[in-house]
Parts: sequence; structure tokens; C-alpha cells
Amino acid sequence: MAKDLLFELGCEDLPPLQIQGALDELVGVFTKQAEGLRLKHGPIQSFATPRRLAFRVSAVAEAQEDLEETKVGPPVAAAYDKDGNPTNAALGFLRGLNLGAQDLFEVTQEKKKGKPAQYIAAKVLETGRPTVELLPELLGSLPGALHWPKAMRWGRCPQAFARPVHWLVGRFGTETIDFEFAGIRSDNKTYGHRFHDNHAVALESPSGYEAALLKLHVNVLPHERSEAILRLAREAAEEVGGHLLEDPVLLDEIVHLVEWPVAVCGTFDEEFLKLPPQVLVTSMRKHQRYFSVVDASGAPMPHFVTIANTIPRSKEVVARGNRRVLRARLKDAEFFFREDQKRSLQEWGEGLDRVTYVEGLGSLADKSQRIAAVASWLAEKLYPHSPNLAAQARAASLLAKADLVTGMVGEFPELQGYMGGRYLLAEGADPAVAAAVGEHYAPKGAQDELPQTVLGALVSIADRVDSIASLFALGRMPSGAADPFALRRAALGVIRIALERDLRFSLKELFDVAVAEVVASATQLGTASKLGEPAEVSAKALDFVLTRLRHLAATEHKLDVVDAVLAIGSKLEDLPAIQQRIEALSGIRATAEFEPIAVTFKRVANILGETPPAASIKVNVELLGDAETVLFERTAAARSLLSEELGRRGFAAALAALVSLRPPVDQFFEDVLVNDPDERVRVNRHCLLRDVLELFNSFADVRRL
Amino acid sequence: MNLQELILRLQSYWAEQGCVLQQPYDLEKGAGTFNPATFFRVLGPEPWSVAFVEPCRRPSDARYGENPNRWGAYYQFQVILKPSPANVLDLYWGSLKALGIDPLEHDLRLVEDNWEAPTQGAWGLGWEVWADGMEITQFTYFQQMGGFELNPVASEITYGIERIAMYMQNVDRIHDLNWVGELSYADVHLQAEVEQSVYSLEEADVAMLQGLFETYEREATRLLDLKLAYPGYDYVLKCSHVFNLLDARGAISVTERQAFINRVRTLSRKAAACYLAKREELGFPLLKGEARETLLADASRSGG
Repeated sequence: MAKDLLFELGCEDLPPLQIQGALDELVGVFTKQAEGLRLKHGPIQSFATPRRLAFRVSAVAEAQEDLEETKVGPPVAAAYDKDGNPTNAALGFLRGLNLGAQDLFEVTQEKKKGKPAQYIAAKVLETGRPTVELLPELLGSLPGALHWPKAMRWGRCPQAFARPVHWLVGRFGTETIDFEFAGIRSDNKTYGHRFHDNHAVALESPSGYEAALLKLHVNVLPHERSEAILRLAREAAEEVGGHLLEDPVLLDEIVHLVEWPVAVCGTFDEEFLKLPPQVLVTSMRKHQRYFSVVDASGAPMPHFVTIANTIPRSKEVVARGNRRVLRARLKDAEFFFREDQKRSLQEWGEGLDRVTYVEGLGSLADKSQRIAAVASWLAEKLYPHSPNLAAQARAASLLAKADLVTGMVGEFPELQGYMGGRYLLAEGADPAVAAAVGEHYAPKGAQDELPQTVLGALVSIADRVDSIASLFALGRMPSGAADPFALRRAALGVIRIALERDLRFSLKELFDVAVAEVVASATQLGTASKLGEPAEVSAKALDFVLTRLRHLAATEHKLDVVDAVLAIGSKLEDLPAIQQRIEALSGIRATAEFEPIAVTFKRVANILGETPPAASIKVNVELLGDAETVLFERTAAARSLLSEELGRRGFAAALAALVSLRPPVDQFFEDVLVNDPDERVRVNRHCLLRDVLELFNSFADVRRL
Repeated sequence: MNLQELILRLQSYWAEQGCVLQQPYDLEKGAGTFNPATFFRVLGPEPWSVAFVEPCRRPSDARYGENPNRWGAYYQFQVILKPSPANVLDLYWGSLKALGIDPLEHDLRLVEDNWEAPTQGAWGLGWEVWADGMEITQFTYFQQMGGFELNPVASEITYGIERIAMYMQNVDRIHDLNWVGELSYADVHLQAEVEQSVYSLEEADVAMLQGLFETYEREATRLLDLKLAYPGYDYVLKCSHVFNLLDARGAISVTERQAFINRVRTLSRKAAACYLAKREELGFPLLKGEARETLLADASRSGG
């Protein structure tokens, strides 16, 4: 009869953001070990609170699976004497296994060096041991198998864990499993909520675990706590006539800060509503783990919701205490907000020359100048008819980093950009410039929002391109998992913005400009000798961004399609064009037509091999036969159609023009022998095929398909 | 509860738990962890339980007594239990009860907070203790001090006296705390805070302090080379305080800052090594009973 198994480790409050990972690892280690031990079991359910990690395995077999193993003995030649009787070697082998001569058979095995040979062998049956005998070692090995970002020791205990361990539970059906970790002996006793039920309670059976702890003011299911927190917090916000400002990241942290969530709603003085909304939200979330309350229009209300871990005698007392703490926090924020505005953002920006950007490429002031140059170049290139845009891009770039030295951003680094934008608006600066400063850090992550304005998009791209150009110039490219300047994210941001806004700049040209700015900057700083060769830096940077594009595109398209387009990437104009070529090619890649097309054009490529005729040798029309003439003419027609379609970015139509060459090519192969004995004819046919192939390759490299 | 009663209750509670009640150390320092009753005593195998009030100076926090929560001089109440007992958290909750803070009336929480003191070559893991959202205590299991791994591990409980008193007295400014009778915190300390703020932020003589740093650093090194752990460490404390003053005066650039920190840390490590060597020479006199037997047996096995 299979039985359920329960494991629980009780400890002091764990770091909330490490709990889920530890729990997953715990279950993973158990599963792997159980497999190694040939222990059959059903599904595993895991549980966690700040003070415990636990899991329950359903239907664990009462014994290991039996194991039949073939043991191999000496070579047959050495196992029997000339009369066919077992030698001492064979008898010794049998004695070791406690078997008789009737159990022997022969197997063929490869020797380390040489030919396979015959050996004697016998089957041994290992009967599975009872599960209860295996569990002490298995369960005892689990706590020490976890990898914590930072582990600690306590008292005189030689073992380490994330926080001191207090109790261990191992229960197999109704039996207690005896094991030890960190000097703690397992038992069947768990403990309830620290303040409401701080006493030992015996667990009867694994199945009653959650229910037993619910009685002790502990909800061991994180998803239930999460749902409860959200529900309670929403109700609390609605009670004061508002709505909860939902914050999934905060929720995930709070889930592991409490065993028994209780929502307490408090208020703060309305005078603080003068602070920018993000300042209020950030101050409450970061310092106090409070949720914000907003009205129907999304504007902040003077309330907060905190999630307590105790059912207080009076929520009013808890709310009052929290209110006072929040008041001090908001006073601080108000102080920074007021002090910061005693100077203009421009004046704050003067402090940037004292903030090092990266050793060898000067300060953030130097970086701002480079961003300005790149952003205004982009503006001129992309919007030649809006001359004002370049000036705005320059202005926004020069102010973009200024808020980094303000008091508010010093206190809340996550408000970078946002504060600069707010301060500029308050100063009465150009709203477009303010908006660009405010959003130039977007997108923050791979899924995050992109800049909403043209100007914001330009400054964001220029900032990222400068980071890539700067660090590549200094030889500090990302390697493996190490990407300390988040350049991969920067590259991805450039790609996403360019694609979403259909910004048609040449990436190569952009990097040439950015690298030239980096060189100029370094020359001024006297650090030019630290930089790599500009053309090489620019090429590597371009390649780096295209590699990110490859990864991004590969999430939606087949990799051979992506590679076929990217293989001619350096010749391509802009990121949207690359994307659209990939999409067009991907469109036919999915159809039944694709295989025959690929076969045909690859055949062309194979015939030409590595040495197609030189471009200077033209097709001689006089030498063409009928099928060849058709192909020649169709190729010429396709060429002009292709160039016309590419000129107006009709990538699907351009590809269709290429695909239409398949029948004449096939006909050509059917009608003529390419490698004609007459060299002139042969070369001429090769020239014709070369033209076909080149035409195709101007769209995508057919050999990659 | 007035401020001095709060201190008295903490003292008597921890005295009942078997702590030595020491008095503040008579040199300027930024935190209780600099007191040799902490810095030295957590090193090595000897058990040690101590509680003391520590006046702390943080020149860069000086605000002329105008900020409601932040003063350049304030008090910590520090408790060191070594080795950390298994029930140390329960002892701590007991101390809050002794102050009249009922865990079922408030929301008491442990919020992850890892401690690091670069100039002390020290780090530990633990929490901030929150009472209704207010940080009232820092709770740390020291893992390293003076660059040495600690074994056994000591637990450190540091109460922010002003914070707890503000919380208990329901006041919003350090100023307004009731010290005793009619006297407020401001009555006792405001003039000193204002004058020290002027000194720390405006008047401290940077050139003199820079000179003093060099002098103190040399003296610390000389004394520690002479195996004089306590006098040498005094000069480490002086270096640390002078560094804090220079920092408050804005006389240290970002790059210099790291260099200064490294210099103080080097001295801290040297002091820790010196103290440990002396204790070993003395045969770790506070080590008693089984722990002593085990240590001596280990030492003889390893040939030491």
C-alpha cells in the first residue's frame, strides 16, 4: 500500500524573494533522489510561508522497485578449462554473487582496445528495500542540498542555511521518519503562527497538513495567501471609496512576508497629494511595502493599505503607527521634491561631470553630449522636414541624465527619468522635451512599455547605441552570462523601438556615427589609446545588435529563415526592412510550395559551387537556346520587378517575383545540360544561373534555407 | 514610558537574561558594533553576553536638530549573545513585552535586511524589526567581523532608542520625546546637536582632519605591531570617526572614499587579528566546560 509523505522544515523568517526558488529546488532534489532510489510516487504538492518550506508526496510506494542487474565476470576463455568445467576464476565470480553454475550465461562486450569478446555473466536480483528505511537519509539530505544566494550559520551549528532552522517534520503515513539537520531531530510536530499559536502541534497524517495549520493561523498555500491579500486589500481600498492600485511585484513579496494576511487601511495628510503620483507610490511601496489607493480616474487618494501578519486587537492602533511612519517618509520625499526644485534641472545637470560613466569614457556629462549628437543625427536623418526636432532631441539628451544627481533620484533610483520629466514640466520647459526625458529609459525590460513620443524614442535609441558603442570601444562586451552594463537589453530596446515605430535608419550608419562620437569624446579626454579600431568596433556593435534581432526573430520564425535574411544583413538598409523580409520569407516557408522552391534554388547554388563566373562576364545572348532564353528574359523581368518592389518596400511582392522564376529554372534544368562539353556554352549557362542566384540572394541567402 | 525608563527596562530585562551590563565606550563611534565589547568579543571561541547603551555619532546625519527623525548624535541599545541561543528571537519578543509592546496589539514583523560594515570588515544576515511599519530594531547574526569568520556565531540586537520611544510615546519628532519628568529630548541634547551640526557640516577643519587621519593611522599600526590590541583599536576608532567627519564635510570624492574605507578596514583587520592572538595566548580564559575541552582537543589534534 502506497502512503503519503510529508516533509516540513521550520525556521526563522526567510528572505521573501528566495522562498519560491528554494521550494522549487527542494521538490526538484527530492524528485531526483527518489528516482535514483527507484521510489515510485504520485504528484507532489509544495507549501511555503516565511517560516516554513514543506511538501507532500502522494502515494509513495512502500518499497523500492526491485532491480535486476547483469553482472559481467571473466572472459569465457578464462572461465572454463579445456574440459568445459568452470575455472577458479568463474567459481570465484559465482561465489561473490552467491549463485551457481546453472545461473551463468555469456555476453559479448567490447574491450577497451580491441575486438569484442565473450564474457561469462549472471543476473542478480536486488530486492527493493522498504521505503521507511530509505527516508531518513533522503529527507535528511534535503535541507543541505538547497543553494541560497547567501547562507548563514548560527550558534555553534556547523551547517548553514538561509536562516536558523528550528524544527523538522518527516511523516510517512502515520509513521514519523527520524532524521537530522543542523542538530535538529525530526519529529511529527509543527508550530503555528508566531504570536497567535506559538506552540507545538502533532501532525497526524500528511493529508491533514494544510487544515491543521489553518487552525494555527497559518495558511501554507502561497497562492491562497496571494488571493487573500489581493481580495482583502481591494476590499480595504473600496471601504474608503477608492480602488487598489495593483502591484503584482509587491504582491509576490508580501505573500512571503506573512503567514496570516490581514489588511489594514490607513490615511495620510492630503498635503502630500501635491507630490507626483509616482513619488507617492514608490515611497510607499519601497520603504513600507504598502499598496496605494487611487480614485476612479487613477489619481492617488490619501490612503494606503498595509498587510499585517497578525490579527490586531484594534486595526486602528496598527493604522495609526503606520500612518506616523509614512508621514515621516513622505516628509522626506517632500523635502527632496522642494530642495530639488530650488535649482533648474539644467543646473543639476552641471553636476554630471563629477559622476563617472565608465573609466576611459568620462562622466555622465560626456555621455550626455554623445547622446545629443547621436539623437540629433537620427532626428535629421529620419525627419529631415522637421528641423526643430533635432534641436529638441539635443535639448532632451543634454538634460536626460540630470535628475541622477537630484536628491529624489538619490533616494529612489527607480524614479530616474520620471523626476527629470516632472521637474522640467514644473519649470515650464518644452513639454515634448520633458516627455522625452521622462521616458528615455523605456523600455526597461523585454516586455515593458516603449517610449510614447517620437522624441522619447530618439533619445532612448541614442542613449542605448552610445552605451553599446562606448563599452564595445573599450573592449568590455558582454560575455556569457556577464553583461554588467545590460547591453543585451539595450540592443533589444533599440530593435523594439525601431520596429514598432518603423524607424528606417541604417544601423551600420548609426553605429558609425556613434563610434565616431565615442572617439571624439575619448580624444578630448585623452583616452583615445584605450579604444579599439573604430571600423572594427562599429562592425562588432552592429553584429551584436543583429544577433539580438536574430534571437528576437527566432521566437516567431524558423531560424533558417532568420539566418537566410541576416546573412545578407550588412547590406540591408534598416531594422524594419530586415523584419519584413523575414516575415515575407516566413510566409512561404510555412506553405507546401516552399520545399520545391528551396530545392530548385539550392540546386542552382550547388551547380555554381564556390566559384561562380566573375561578375564581369556577362551572359552572351547569342549562345542561348530556347529554354535558356525564356529563363534569361524571365530573370530580367524579375530583376526589374524586384527592384521596383524593394524600392517601395513591397517585400512579399518582391519575393513572389523571385518565386515566379522557379518554373523557368526547372524547365531550364530539364531541357539543357548545364555542363556542356563546349566551354563557352557551359560558362554562359553558369553566368545565367549566377544571375538567377544573385537575384535571389539579394533577398535572402538561399543556402541557409 | 519616558526615555530613561525605557533604557532602564531594557537593561534590567537583559540583565535578567544573564547579560553583562557594560557602559558606553568612551570614544566617538558611528554604531554600537564599534564598541570593543562587540567588535572584539564576538571574535574567537569565548562565549559572551553583553548589553549596553551606546551613544553614536554620524556627522553626515547632522541636521541642526531640524529633521524630525535624523540627528547626528543618537543612542543605540545593543545586546550581543554569543553563541546565539536557539530562542534568541523569543528573548527579543520578551524584551518588547517588557517594554509594554504587546505582539497581539501591534503588527510585529521581521523584514529581511542584511548588514554590512565595510570599514569593520564585517557582515551578517538578519532583519529589521518593524512595529506597525516602524523599524525599531536591527537584528543580525554576525557572520564575519574584522575579516574573520565567526565561530560560534553571535546574535546582535540593536534597538533604536529614539525610534522605539517615539513609537511608544506617540510623538513625531525626536525633539519632543519625553526624557523624564518635564524634560524633553531637546532640553537634554538640542544645543549640543545644533553646535555639533555646525561643526560637522561647516566648521570642521578639513586640513587638520586629513592630517589627523594620517597620524592616527600610523599610531594604530604602530600600537598593533606592538601587540597592544586595545590601545591600537582606539586609534582605529579615531580614524573611523575622522573619516566620517571628512565625509560629512564633503571633503572626500567618490574614488577617494573607497580608498579611505579600505584603509580603515585594513586597520580593523589588524586589530581583530591582534586581539585574537592575545586571547589565544591567554588560553581563551572565558571558555568553560565542554566547549573548552572540545576546543583544546581540536587544537592538540591539529598540532596547534
